[in-house]
Amino acid sequence: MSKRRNKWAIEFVQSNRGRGERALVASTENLPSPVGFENLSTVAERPREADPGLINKRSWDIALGPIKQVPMNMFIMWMAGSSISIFPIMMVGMMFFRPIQAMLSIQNTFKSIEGDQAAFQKLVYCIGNLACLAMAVYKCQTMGLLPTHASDWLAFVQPQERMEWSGGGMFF
Amino acid sequence: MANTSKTVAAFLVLIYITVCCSFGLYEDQAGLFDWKQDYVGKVKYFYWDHSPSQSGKKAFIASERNVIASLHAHDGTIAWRRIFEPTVRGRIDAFLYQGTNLVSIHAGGLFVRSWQTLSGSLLWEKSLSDDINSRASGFFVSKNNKGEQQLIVATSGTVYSLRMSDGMEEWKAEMPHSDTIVQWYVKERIDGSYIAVGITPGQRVTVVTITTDGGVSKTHTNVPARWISIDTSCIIMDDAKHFACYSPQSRSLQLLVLDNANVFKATEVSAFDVPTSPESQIEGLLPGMASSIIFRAAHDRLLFMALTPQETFFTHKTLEKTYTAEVVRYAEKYILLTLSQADPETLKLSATDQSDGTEITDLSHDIPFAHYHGPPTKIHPFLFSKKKDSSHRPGCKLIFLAQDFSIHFAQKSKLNDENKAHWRREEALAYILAVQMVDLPVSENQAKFEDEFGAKEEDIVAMFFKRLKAQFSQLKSFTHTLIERALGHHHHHAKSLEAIEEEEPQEEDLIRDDFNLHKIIIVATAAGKLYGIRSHTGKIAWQQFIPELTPFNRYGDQKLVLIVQRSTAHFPHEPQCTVLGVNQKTGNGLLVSFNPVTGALTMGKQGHSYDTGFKVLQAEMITDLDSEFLRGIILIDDKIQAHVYPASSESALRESHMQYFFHLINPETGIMTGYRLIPGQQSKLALEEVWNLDLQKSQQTITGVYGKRAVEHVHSQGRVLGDRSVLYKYLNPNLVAIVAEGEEQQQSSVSKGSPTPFFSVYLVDGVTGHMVYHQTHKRSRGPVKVVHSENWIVYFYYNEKHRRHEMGVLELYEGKEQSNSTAFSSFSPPPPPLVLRQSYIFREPLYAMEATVTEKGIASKNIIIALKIGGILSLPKALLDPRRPVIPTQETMEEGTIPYVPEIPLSAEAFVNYNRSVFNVNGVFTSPAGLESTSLVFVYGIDIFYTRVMPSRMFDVLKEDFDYLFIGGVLGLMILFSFITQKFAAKKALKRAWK
Repeated sequence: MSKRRNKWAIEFVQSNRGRGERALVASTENLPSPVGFENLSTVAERPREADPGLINKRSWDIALGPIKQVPMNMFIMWMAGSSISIFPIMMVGMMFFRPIQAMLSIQNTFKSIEGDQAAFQKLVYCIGNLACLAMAVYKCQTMGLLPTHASDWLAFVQPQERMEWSGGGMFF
Repeated sequence: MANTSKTVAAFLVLIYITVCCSFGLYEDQAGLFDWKQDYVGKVKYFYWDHSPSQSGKKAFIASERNVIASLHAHDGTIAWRRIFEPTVRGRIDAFLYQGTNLVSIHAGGLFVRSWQTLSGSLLWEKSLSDDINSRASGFFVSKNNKGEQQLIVATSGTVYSLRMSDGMEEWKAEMPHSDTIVQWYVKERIDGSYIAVGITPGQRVTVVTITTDGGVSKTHTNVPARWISIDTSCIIMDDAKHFACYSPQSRSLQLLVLDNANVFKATEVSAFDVPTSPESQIEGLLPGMASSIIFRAAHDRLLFMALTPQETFFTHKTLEKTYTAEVVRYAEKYILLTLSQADPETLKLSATDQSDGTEITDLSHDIPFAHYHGPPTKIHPFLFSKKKDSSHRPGCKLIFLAQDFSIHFAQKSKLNDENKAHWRREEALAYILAVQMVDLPVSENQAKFEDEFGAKEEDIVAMFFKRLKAQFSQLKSFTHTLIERALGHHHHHAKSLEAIEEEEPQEEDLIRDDFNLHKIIIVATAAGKLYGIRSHTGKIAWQQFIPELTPFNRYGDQKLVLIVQRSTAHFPHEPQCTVLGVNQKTGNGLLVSFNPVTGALTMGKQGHSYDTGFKVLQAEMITDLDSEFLRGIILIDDKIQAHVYPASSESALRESHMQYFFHLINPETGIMTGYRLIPGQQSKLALEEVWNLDLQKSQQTITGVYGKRAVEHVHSQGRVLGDRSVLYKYLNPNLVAIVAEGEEQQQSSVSKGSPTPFFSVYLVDGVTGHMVYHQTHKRSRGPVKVVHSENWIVYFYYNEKHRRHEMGVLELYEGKEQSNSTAFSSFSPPPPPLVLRQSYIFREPLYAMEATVTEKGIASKNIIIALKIGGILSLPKALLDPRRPVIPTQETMEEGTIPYVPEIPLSAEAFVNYNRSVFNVNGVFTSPAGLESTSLVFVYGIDIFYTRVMPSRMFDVLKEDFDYLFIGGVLGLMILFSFITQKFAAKKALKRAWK
């Protein structure tokens, strides 16, 4: 009844789209469909019919992503050198940060991995991330940032307790 | 070529490191963290300046510390000062003044120096004798026929007459018995000839006449005098016919008639009905009375004695209850000035006309005089007529010396405003033997907080109430200071405090500051005087005089022991310090305990000091606290029995988990003996001999034993090497370094006869007697100065072979494994340590050195060195590292060692006393401050100097020039901007949404 008079209306229900482009939905219900307009529902159903090979391929893409980063990381590591300054530290930080982030959001990533090889792909994905992490740790090791030597724990060594007291000296 | 480039690189690295590790002060920081005080020492000779322009404005003094100086009479500051060698070569035998001539005679005539009175510059110098063990004497004569002044100097072998204008020799007279005589007393006769009396200690006196032109009479008379010694007080009487001495052994006055000398005539002092005392001596001649002397019977009794025609003494005046007296000639009259006690804090100066005995009221007055100076010993009045008054009434400037070596000035003021014309110099501070620094107590509020946690069992409500109370009082004091600051009251307060001087220490002033940088410096001096000095201003907070306290004295090496028994950390117990010395009367050990903050002496059964009743051979503080948080002192008597002071502290020994050991070194036998202390149940402490170590007395003499300091903490247990492994330090707390010096007869034919000196350094475990390391330096001699700290020993010596001073360093390491990481026991010691050693050339001779100490031992160490050129050098220990590589590699760079250069560089920035040179330094004392980066340094000698050093730079405090306002402002602005931009961003987003 009122729809006729209003050119647009705000839709509150469909709000989980992007923040900026929420809201404005033209009230076009009663307009006649334009020439050549087809009902969308048929188009939407098309992916369901997509072949499982494509799904597999896409899933492999996701699963191999971290491993593909490894040569790149190697190059960056080599470029960064082993001196302790702001850029190498930033690089190392990034190298740590990315795999850890990926591991944290692993649930979301796994959702998009489908197909019959899913379990294997998930494993490959995890291994890839761990390899990245291992490389970061190795980089830290070569830069000498890991407390692996006795000298790194020297500050926490307690002084030796004295078992005997001695005093004296020359005659006054 | 490669070699030179390498050395250049090494030098560059070295320069970089020295520049980065040492840092000077900025110009405006001079005097901000440091202060220096100049002293002259105990006055031996004193003259008022009588030159026309400076008459009465200055005074000349010569002191026991081999110093001559001119003091301003109006405030006691030093106009000029000349310091001579502290050894016997600088000893002042005579100091003469007349008109504009000022002459000092040193070391038996080794030097005769004439000084310009106004500036203290040297006019001429002459060396007459090299018999430095004898004493020279001298006096001025004026020859009327030439109108020229002459100086007669008598050395042990010859009497010289020198022209005063240029020091040229007029004549000289060879004296008999020059090999045995140590001192000549010479006096001019009326006819212009001279009479000389020479003293051979323990044997005789020799009487010789010298003619006007230096001819010596062929016959000389020897008179036996077995009682005479070099310190006997003797005098030739005014008429040059009598020679009088006081013999302390027989307590008699000895008189010799010089014209027909054959025997001394003795007069017992007891015949005059006066008791004698150790102070008894002939003070001098009595002016205005023929053949009269002033004789001091006791510290408060003086006798005026004259000769009868029968050549015996009689007393014509006895001054009872008079400390000191002087007869001065003024306006054709002889005026007697005496100093006596009016009441405990006041002295009375009285002046009487000698001719008629009337008192001159213009001169007599009362002088305020604190009890802690001891009785006055000598007065030096200066009489003048007041020119402003038409009546020409006499005035008197009075300088008097007291038993504690202090110099006092007093002058009667017209308007009765006291203290105006009154100053004093605390010359005992030139005789400091022991130093400690004590924390100031926390403020009242802080103490309340401490109290909160100190109580053991209390319910929550009471504790909450306490906390509220403490915080309320904190708030109150905060508002109080705020108000004070707002009113600008604080500033005035500080000023007025300065004006009333240090007499009344303001209670709130003696409070710990934020970083615990301000301390009380406790010093014990050879005069028996104790001082508490505020470290930040250098002012004396309190002083105590203990006349019976004298230092231990072994071969002229004086020593006092000062121990902090309880620090200020144990509120509400008062802090306690104890000084150990020798009782002057009994020769036994003397202990004096006092509160280091207030200076109050702790009263015991025997009054304020405690005579141990035995001679003390050695003493050491126990590290364990007893039930009253007191650290006891173990005293070893001459029968090798152990005692504990106070006796109640012995419980700490019994309850301790440690075993106690003691080692004693007898330098006469060269044997080091180790003992075990067995705390018995029946309060008797037993000493059990455990081991013996013979250090070969026949070849060498032990000159020093150096342990580690008890306050020292070692934070890092090892040293990180270039390959990131750890070299663990050998930190044996019982290790002592022993230095023995000796001479070795050369066997080779090259240099036969002349012995070559050597010295040895022994590192001995004080518990087991195990010799950890031993090193001998051939063709090197001492005096060896040693610093022993952490796991290293640095020692300084003179290398005779290369004729240069060197610094040796030993560093001890356990190796790459620590055998026992939790405890150190000398009975299961780690394997023999790795000893790294190196020596470096150090181009300057030095007086003393000491390592810095910090609170936790994290900051790196510097060595504070007092150089003989007057500088105080703060030398990073890293420069004295035996691991400095000859060829620097990547690994050594990683480790941070400085490339090896044989010489230690002295950079001007490393002199912490910039242009304030200090001389004749006796020692350096370092103490930790509340800040880890900071160590406090106190240098003492004839001057005292205080400063603070930061060996690792100031890493725990923002710099003084840190711009708080700027940084704070920027921070505030950024916060503001972030708020504003957030608002803007939100607005913009909204706008975009509306598009």
